[in-house]
Amino acid sequence: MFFLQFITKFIKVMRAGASPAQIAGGFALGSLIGLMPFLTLQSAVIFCVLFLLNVNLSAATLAIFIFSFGAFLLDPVFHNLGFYMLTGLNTLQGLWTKLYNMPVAPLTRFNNTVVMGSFLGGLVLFAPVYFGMKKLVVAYREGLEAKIKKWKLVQVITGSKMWQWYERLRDWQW
Amino acid sequence: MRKGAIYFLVVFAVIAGVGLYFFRDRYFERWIENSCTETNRAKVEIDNFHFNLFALTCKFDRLQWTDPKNTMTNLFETGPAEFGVELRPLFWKNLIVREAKIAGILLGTERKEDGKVDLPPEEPGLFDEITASVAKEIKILPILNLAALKQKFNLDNLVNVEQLAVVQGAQAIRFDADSTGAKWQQFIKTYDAQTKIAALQTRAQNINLQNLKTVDEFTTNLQNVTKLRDDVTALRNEITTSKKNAALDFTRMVGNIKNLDNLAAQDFDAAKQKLGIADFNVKDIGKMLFGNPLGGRFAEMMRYVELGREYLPAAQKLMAINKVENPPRLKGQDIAFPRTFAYPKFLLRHAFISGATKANVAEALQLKGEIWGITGDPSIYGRPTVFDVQVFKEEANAYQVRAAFDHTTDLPKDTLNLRASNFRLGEVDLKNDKSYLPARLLANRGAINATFVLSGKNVLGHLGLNIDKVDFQFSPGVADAITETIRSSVFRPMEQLQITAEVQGATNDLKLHIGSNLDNVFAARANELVQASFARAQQEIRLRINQETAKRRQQVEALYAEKQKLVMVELNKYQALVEEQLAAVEAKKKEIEKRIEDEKKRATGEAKKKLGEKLKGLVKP
Repeated sequence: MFFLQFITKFIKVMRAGASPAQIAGGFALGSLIGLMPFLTLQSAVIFCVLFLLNVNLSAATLAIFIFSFGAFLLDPVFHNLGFYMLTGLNTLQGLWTKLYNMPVAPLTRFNNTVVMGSFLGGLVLFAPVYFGMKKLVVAYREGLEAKIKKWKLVQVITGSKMWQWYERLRDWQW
Repeated sequence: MRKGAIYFLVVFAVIAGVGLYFFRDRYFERWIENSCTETNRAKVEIDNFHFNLFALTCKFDRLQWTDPKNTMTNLFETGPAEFGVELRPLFWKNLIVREAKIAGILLGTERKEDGKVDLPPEEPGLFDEITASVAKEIKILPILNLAALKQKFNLDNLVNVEQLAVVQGAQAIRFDADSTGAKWQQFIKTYDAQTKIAALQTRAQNINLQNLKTVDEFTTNLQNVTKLRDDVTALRNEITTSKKNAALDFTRMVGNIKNLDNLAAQDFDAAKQKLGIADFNVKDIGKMLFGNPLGGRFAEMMRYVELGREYLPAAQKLMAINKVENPPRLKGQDIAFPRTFAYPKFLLRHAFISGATKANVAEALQLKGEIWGITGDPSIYGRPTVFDVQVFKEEANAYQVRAAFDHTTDLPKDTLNLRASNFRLGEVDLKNDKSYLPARLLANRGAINATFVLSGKNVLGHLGLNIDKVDFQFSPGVADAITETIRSSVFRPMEQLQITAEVQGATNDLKLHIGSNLDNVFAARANELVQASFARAQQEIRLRINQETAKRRQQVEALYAEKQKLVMVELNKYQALVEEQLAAVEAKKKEIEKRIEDEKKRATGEAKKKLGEKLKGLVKP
């Protein structure tokens, strides 16, 4: 019973946060996680932040999925960016050296070029992704949703049994 | 803020913590096994590894370290071990062990499974060069031509009579004697002194002083006698000169006969040259006697130094300039920064070890000692790895082994020192295959002090071995007289045998020298035997040559005497005759001169008398 209650509450959390800001926030945080290599301390922290903040987790999940592909494609860019940040700027060498000698540093893997480059890239893209996603959600709800619902493809999907199962699950009262 | 999420995060953290708690041992065990396997190039297996997170201690029941050169055998295995680790280095995945107690170490145990792994094989390294170099030095054994001692000299081959200088010299003298004799005999024949002397005699006889009356006749005959005397004198001088020349010729032959001794000496030297070695010199006799067993021991000791070199890499350049690489996708490149606290990947600061060399207690030697500073990054640790181990057997041998592997700089320096005193030796196989060298050495006790230093690729090693109450045993079989002489006179039981060995040089060009107090004894005795053998041969040669010389000398002396006699007797005879004739002619000449003087006196007297008479008539009283 405890296990069922745990799953119920988890799904509720996943379905919560339907406002454009919540969806955009979830999506932006998800993009940050998706761009970075997974096994780092900062990824774990962002995961915790994701769960603690009242943002849409479904959007975050979707963003993680999409931006993982983006990370694969942008890997050379992140590598060069990270290399430049770690070795090209003399003013930051002292900071990196201090960080390197902290016990916690190996957990962050900050001295890895892709980790550094993708983290910086994620930070830079965070604001544009948030505001962009927010505008997209508003625009979708104001005009696009009705048009998209009329598409034959959407009608086929929404008429399918899989969609019906999804709606049942979505609307299930735990 | 989603307060409900805290609940999930806590649950999630608890689940992760529980998972970590239950699976950490397996994780660490696999991590250590993989790291060690990669270093060893053969399997390293740990049983029942346990990591205590709160006490920061590790323990395991068993460690098996496969011998990469024989993957069905463990280089060593341990029994239970326990050690504490330092916390801070763990954040960088560096395992620093403070102090360990490792018991039940066994060397060379059999494995149940093959410990081979699919890693590229190691290329022949430094120690293959060293052992090959030492083996090569041992194979270059000193020259001991014992066959020379046994050789039966073929005198006829050494002394070819026909080609002897003395024989040829004698033949030349014979020829000279014959030709000289013939020459002078021919001279005597053609000169015909006898006829000439007879003619002079006739002329002398014709001068008859009885018939001479007047002074004129005397004067004429005086002239004739004077002429005759001159002729006789001339003949005498010719004969004397001829005799002198003949004597010179024969004197020359005497000189040639005397020269036969010099020719004989030449013949003797030539035969001696053919005989071969004049002196016998044995170099590095120690290498010949003890090279094989010591070479094997040296290789064993080098094996342990090899392990040190293998597992303790020399210092590599730290903080290499970070260059941009092209890593695989999503892997990135790790950039290194200066470390305030530099930790090696693995470090065992101090360990107490105990164990045995074999599982069989009866045969095994016990090990006990301490180790300091085993690490895969000696340059970071900054101190050499040191082993101080005692190897012993109850009521028997005890060895102290101290090794230091200093790989903190680019030039690694490894030192191995082995000491033992009063250890029991028993029977030692010398691995000699020559019948005149002992096959086994029996000894009571000994003391050894060996030091080897491997600095970079240069080896310097010294071994001193003192063995008490030594006896030698030979391989069974019949030995000839020479071999038996060497065996009995050189390899006698000794109170103490002292062996020193030195090895020096680059690893691929080692020079090995082994010496012992047996060397001089062996060399002197062998030299004596060789010299005696050669002396006998030389004596026989000399005898043969002297015989030939005496025979030839006798022959030429007889011929010389014969020829000389033939010639000189004739010449002497002629000389005597001509001297006799000369004396007669001189006498005759003197007589004529006297008669002429007398006649002159008589004529003067008569003339005075006549004058006196005439003057008497002129003057009256």
